[in-house]
Amino acid sequence: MLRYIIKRLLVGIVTLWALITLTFILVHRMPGSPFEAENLSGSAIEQLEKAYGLNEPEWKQYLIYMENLLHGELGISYKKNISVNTLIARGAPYTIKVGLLAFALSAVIGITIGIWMSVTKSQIVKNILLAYATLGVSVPAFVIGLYLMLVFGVWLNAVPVVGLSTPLHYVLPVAAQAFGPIATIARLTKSTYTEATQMDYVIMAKAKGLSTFQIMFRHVLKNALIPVVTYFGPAIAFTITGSFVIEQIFSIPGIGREFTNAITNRDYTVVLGFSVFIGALIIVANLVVDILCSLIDPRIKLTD
Amino acid sequence: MKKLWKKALSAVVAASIAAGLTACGGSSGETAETKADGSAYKSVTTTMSMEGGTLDSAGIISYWWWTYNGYATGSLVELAEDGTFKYILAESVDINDDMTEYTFHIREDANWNNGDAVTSEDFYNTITRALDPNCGNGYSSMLFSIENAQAIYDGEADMSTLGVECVDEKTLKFTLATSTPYFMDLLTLPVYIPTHRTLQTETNGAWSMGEDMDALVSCGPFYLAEYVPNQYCLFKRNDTYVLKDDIKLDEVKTLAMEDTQAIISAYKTGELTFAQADYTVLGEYKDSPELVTLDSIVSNYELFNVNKAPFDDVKVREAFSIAIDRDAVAAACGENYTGSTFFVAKKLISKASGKTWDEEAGGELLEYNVEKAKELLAQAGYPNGEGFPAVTYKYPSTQLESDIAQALQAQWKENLGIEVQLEAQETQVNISDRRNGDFDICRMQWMADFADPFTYLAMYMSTDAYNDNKCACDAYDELMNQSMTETDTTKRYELMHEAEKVLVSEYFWGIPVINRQQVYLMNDNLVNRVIDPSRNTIRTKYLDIQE
Repeated sequence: MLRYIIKRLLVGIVTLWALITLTFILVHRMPGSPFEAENLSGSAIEQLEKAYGLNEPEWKQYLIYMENLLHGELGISYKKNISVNTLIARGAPYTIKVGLLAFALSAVIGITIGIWMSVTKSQIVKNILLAYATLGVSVPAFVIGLYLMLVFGVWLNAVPVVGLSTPLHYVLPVAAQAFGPIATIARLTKSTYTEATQMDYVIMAKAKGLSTFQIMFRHVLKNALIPVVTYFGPAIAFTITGSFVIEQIFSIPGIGREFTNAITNRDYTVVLGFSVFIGALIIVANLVVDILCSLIDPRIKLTD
Repeated sequence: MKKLWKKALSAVVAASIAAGLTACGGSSGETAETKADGSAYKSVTTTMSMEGGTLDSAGIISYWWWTYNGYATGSLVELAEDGTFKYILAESVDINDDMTEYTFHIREDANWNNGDAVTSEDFYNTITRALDPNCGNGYSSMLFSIENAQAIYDGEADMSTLGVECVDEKTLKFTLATSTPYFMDLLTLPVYIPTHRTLQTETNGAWSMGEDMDALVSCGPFYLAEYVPNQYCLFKRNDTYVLKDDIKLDEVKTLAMEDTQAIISAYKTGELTFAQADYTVLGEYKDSPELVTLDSIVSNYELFNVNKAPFDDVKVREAFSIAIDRDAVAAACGENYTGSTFFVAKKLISKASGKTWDEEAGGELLEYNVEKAKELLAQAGYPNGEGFPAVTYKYPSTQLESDIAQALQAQWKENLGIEVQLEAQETQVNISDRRNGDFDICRMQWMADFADPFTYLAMYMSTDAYNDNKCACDAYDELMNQSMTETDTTKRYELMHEAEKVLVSEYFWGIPVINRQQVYLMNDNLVNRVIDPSRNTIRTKYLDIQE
C-alpha cells in the first residue's frame, strides 16, 4: 500500500512536470503580451519586459521558472504586483470552501436521489427525478447560476447575490455549482444500484431473512458505490473548474475568477502557477479516491 | 419536492459554514444607522473592477487606482461641470504670459489625514518617481510637457534639471518645455497627484498594496479604511479634507464585481445603491427615475492600414468610409448607441464655447453616399468591387464589437459589393496586431485621458508613439503643431476642428463609427449628481442621500 502511494506520487510529479512544461510552452505561444495595454508606450513596455525578465530567451525563462518552482516560488504576477503564492493563498480558501460544500452536497443528495430513483415504484416520482437528472447534466452551471440569482435573489429577495460575507451568501453559488454533479451522481447511482439489487447475493441475503435496511446498506450500497466513488475524483476537479463561471457570476474572490482574468490578460506567471496548483489538487484527489475505493472494496488491491 | 430540498439545502449549507466563518458586518442591506448628532449615517455601495496594479500614483496604475482616485486622492485642481477649473489643494495659480510657467499656491489648511501638511515636496515625490522608467506607470509621458522631463525619463539628463521647483513648502512651480494649452487638464492625471513625501516614497511598495494602512494616508475627501483583496474597499469620510463641506457621504463601499448581469441583479436585490449597467435595462427602467444615461466620451472607430494596398489609395478609403450608414450600425448595437462622423467623441464639452464638440463643429464631417462611394471605387480600379483584393477586419471578440463588425460587413457587401473577412480576436491579440501594423482594417476605441480634444487628435500625428497605422498627413501635422502653440482657446479649438476635418474627411485615416451612452442605475434618493466632464461620469464622492 505504502509502496503504491509512493509510486503514484512519483507518477504525479512527472505528470505535473509535463503539465508545467506544456503550459509554459503554450502560454508563451499565445499571441499578445502581458504589457500591451491601451495606455503604455513602446518604451515603457520594453522597460517592463526587461524588469520581469521577458526579454531573455525562452529556454532561459523556463529554467529560471523551474528553479524558482523548486523553491516553492510561483513568480510575481505581471499585472498585480503581487506574488502568485499570495494570490493562491488568498483565493483558494474561497474556491475550495465553495467547491467542497458543493461536492459534499452533490454526493449526499445525488446518492439519495439515485437510490430513490431505483427503488421507487411511483412512475410520477421516477419521471420527475429523471427529468431533473437529464436537465442537470445538460444545462451549464452559469445558466443555473443566473436563474438561481434571478429567482431567489431578485424576485424572491431571499438570499444575497454578491460575495461570500455571510453563511447565507453561500446558498446560491453552492446550489448552482452542485446542480450538475447531483444529476450525474444520481444517474450513476441509479444504474449501479439497480444492477446490484439484481445480484445473486441479494437473493441470498433475502433468503437468510435479513432486514431490507441491512440488505440495502450493508450489501447493495457498498457494491453499488464503487463506480460512484471512482467518479468523485473527476467530480472534485469538476467542482473546482466549474467554479470559474460561478465565481464570476456571484463575485466570489476565489482562484477561478483570478485564473480567467489572468488568461485574458496574458499574465503568464499566474496562468502557470494556477495550472500547477489545480493540477496538483487533481492528482491528489484522484489518489485519495483510489485509496477510498480500496477501503470500500477489499477486492481492489492497490499494488502497481 | 424541489422546493423542499432547496430549503433543506440552504439549511444544511448555512449550518455547516456558520461555524467556520466570521461574517464581515455592514452589508448595504442593513437599515441605516444614525450618528451621534441624530442625523442618518450616509452610505453608498457601488462596484469596482477587480484590482490590479497599485495605489501608487507614480507606480503601476490600473483600475484599482482609478477607483481609489475617485475617493481618496487630492489634486491641485479639478474640472468642474462648466469647463472651468475648481481649486482643490491649490488656492490659486500664477501663469506667465507665454504660458510656460505655472506657479501653484497650495492651501495653508491642506493636510494629510495623519495631520501632516500637504507640501510641494509631496507633488515632487510623485513626479520624480514617475520619471523612472522602471516605475511601470503608463502616464509618465504626460509629464513630458515639463522642461527636461523626457530627457530625464530617457536617462539623458539629471533630475536636478527638471522644471519642477519646490519654491517653499506651499509653493510649487512648473516650468514647461513649450507652452502647453491643456496643462491644467493634466493636473488630475495620476502622475500629478501628490504622494506623502516620507511615508509613500517606495514605488509600488507595500504601502501602495494596502498592506500598510498607516502609510496609506489621504489628502482627499475620503480615506481607505478597510480593504479586503478581491472583495471590497471601504472608504470613510476624511474630516481633515480641505473642502470637507462639499462632501456629504459618510462612507462609500466599492465591491469587486465584473459581470454586468451580476451587477444588475445586485442592484435589484439592494446590495448596490449605484451601479453601471448596460443597454439590457433600458426597456425595463424606461420611465424610472433610477435610470440615468450619460453621453460617454469614448470614440469607436476603425483604422485603415494606410501603407498597404488597397487602403494606401485614398479613394478606396473614402469609399469605405462613406458607404456606411452609421445610424444603422448604432441601431444594431443597442438603443444607447448613436452614429458618429467625428473622431473626437461627439459629446466632449468644448472649453472654448461650452458646447459639445459636434455642435461646435457645426456640421457632420462625412456623408452617407453610396453612389459616390461606388464611383470612387470604380475610379480606383474596382468597379462594383470587382478585382478587389481580400481584406480582413480585425476586432476583439466582445458582443459589441461583433455587432459592429457584422453591421459593417453587411453594408460594405451591399453598398460596394465587397466581402470583407471578419476576424474576431482576443483583446490582447487585437492590441498586439494593431500595434504591429498587422491588419487591413482594425477596430480601435479611445477614451480621453483628460477633457481636451488634443488627447484624441495627437495620436495620429506622424511622430506620435500611438500612431498605430503610421498615418502621415502633412497638412494635419501642420494644423496640430499650430494648435499646440496657440494660447487663445477659441483659436486653438478652431485649429483642432480643422485638423480633425483633414484627418477624417480628406485623408480618411480611418472610419469614425459610433459613440455610446453610459447606462447607470441609481437609487432615486441619491442627489447632488455632479458630472466629471473629463470622463463624463458621475462623481460618486459628491453624492448625497436625500432624507
